[in-house]
Amino acid sequence: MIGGMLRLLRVLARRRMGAALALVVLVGFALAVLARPVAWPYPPGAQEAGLVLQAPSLAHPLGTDGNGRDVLARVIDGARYAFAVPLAALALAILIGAPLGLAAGLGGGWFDAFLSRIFQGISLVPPLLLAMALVAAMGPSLRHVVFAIGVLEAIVFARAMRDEVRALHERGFVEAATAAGNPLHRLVLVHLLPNTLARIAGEIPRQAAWALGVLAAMGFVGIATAADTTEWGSMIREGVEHLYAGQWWVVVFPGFALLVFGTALRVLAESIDEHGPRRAASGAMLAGVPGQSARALSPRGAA
Amino acid sequence: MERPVRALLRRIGVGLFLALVVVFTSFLLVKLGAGPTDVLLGGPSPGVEERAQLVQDYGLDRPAFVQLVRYAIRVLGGEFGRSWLTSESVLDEILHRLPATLELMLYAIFLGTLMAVPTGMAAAFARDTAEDRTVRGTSVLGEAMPPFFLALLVLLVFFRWLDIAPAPSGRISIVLSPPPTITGSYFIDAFLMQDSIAARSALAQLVMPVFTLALMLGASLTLLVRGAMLAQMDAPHFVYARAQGMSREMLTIIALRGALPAIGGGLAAQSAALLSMTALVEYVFAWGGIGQYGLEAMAKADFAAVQGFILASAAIAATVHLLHAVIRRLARIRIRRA
Repeated sequence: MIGGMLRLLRVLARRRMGAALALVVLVGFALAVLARPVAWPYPPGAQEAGLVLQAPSLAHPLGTDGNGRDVLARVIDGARYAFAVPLAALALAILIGAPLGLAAGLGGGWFDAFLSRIFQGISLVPPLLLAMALVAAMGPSLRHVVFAIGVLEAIVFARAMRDEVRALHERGFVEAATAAGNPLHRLVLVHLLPNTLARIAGEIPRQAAWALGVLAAMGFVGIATAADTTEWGSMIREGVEHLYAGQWWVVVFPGFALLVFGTALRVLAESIDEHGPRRAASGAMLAGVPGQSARALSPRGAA
Repeated sequence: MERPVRALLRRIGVGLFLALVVVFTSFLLVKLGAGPTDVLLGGPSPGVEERAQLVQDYGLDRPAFVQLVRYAIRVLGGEFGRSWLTSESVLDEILHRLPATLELMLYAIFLGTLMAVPTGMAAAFARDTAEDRTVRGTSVLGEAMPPFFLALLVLLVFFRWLDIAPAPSGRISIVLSPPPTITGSYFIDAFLMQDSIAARSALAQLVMPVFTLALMLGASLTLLVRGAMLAQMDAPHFVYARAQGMSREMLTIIALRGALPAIGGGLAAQSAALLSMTALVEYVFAWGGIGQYGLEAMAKADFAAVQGFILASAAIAATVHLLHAVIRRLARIRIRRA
């Protein structure tokens, strides 16, 4: 497994430094989460009354927070949320979105038109704000956070899927496969899904980055979870009063963790856009499908 | 005459449908909520009378479908309900705060575009050089930046460390009283009243939030401009123009003209993201616009206000899209005449 990963890294490094670096960062976060309980003496929840708001030092490289807890341990622990919540939300989004988009793309007609209008209407509300409002209504819980993000990202995947299938349809792809005697399940599984994979896969890191941002915003406003957690947004929320008093480390380090993690995901997304397999729909997207992402306007993935 | 009328009717029909979807979404918000609707809308401890009034107003004793219809009629009639925290009309509160938000957004769009267009163009002309990679790297970093974190960093550096910026205490220094409302922008209103102290304070308060938002917006716009320019530079007419040995200035104009529709479309598409960023930045700077209002309502479970905020955000986004559609239509007419 490690050999395979090394090989993957070598291939990526040859093609693109950024993507390799991004993967190293993400794997680094994962390893840090796994290693922290054995490698680092301070648990994320342990309070030391005598060590409140200590500036970064050798014993506490990222300082301690207002409750005397080690910031480094908490920042590392926060990565668990950064992995788990976007991943769970993505799974939900693809599970809902892909079949919807497939049905709309294959079926076409009124169902397609109806669905795209519904999506268009929902997308009029800024998704971040809608997700936050949903969680605020349903109550603070990570399950609700995953649900809200997943449902809204499902729209993105449904649209992507629909565009891809539609583009294949327009090229006579579906017609040809049907004429060759493929039953529906074979048409979908063998002929359509593999051809849409590139686009779906390309969406994944970008949507993960979005989910991370939404989670952090919810944590920052204080609606994501009831208790205080090591989620980076919530850590920043707790630290704001200390920031104004000059104890910057309680805010800056979780913020940097967010920034680095998010950047790694976005760099991956850009790299897939640029070097990934050609998309079936790139021609169709240029023709102006309603509600398309701005990025889709450029064949090079707008950078 | 037949066709334009039908096209118009169709447009109105689609618009109405979209409005209904938005209203339904906002209705669903409370229906999905943890707790009975009258508690969500009336606060955790509504009085017996208030509760009866809410049940009556929203038809809460009726089936959900009837509730939805009643809700839609109320909302489309401009009745957004009352916040249980302030017992003010939500619509009034939103309208009162709207200018503060629009002011931030407009300045940020202006400044962000001013930064992004030249940078994006330069990067496109320098495609795949170190310069291009630097611009792209910075932009991706900016896209990944949580808006509230950037706002806090700006505050840390300019307010706390350098001490050249005012405290994040809203739109004007807390020791001054706001100018009388003319446009709703404290800076413009104070300027019009020739109150230079208030104007200077309002301007000073604007600098940091606008700077934060412009940086955020500028990052994604730069990538957009670069992509749109590259698409133009691959087009046959541009290749021909370059082969003709036209000057860099002429080439820039040619590519930029072709890229304008894509840039405009991208800017319109970014409006939803900008609104979200503005809400978070307002929250940090205690700006007192609708964004801060909405986020605080969420944190305090004031759902009439949350619903109103969601509807207002959708209305702003819809207005932007409409404006964009009108501008595009006008531009197309001009092209046809030319």
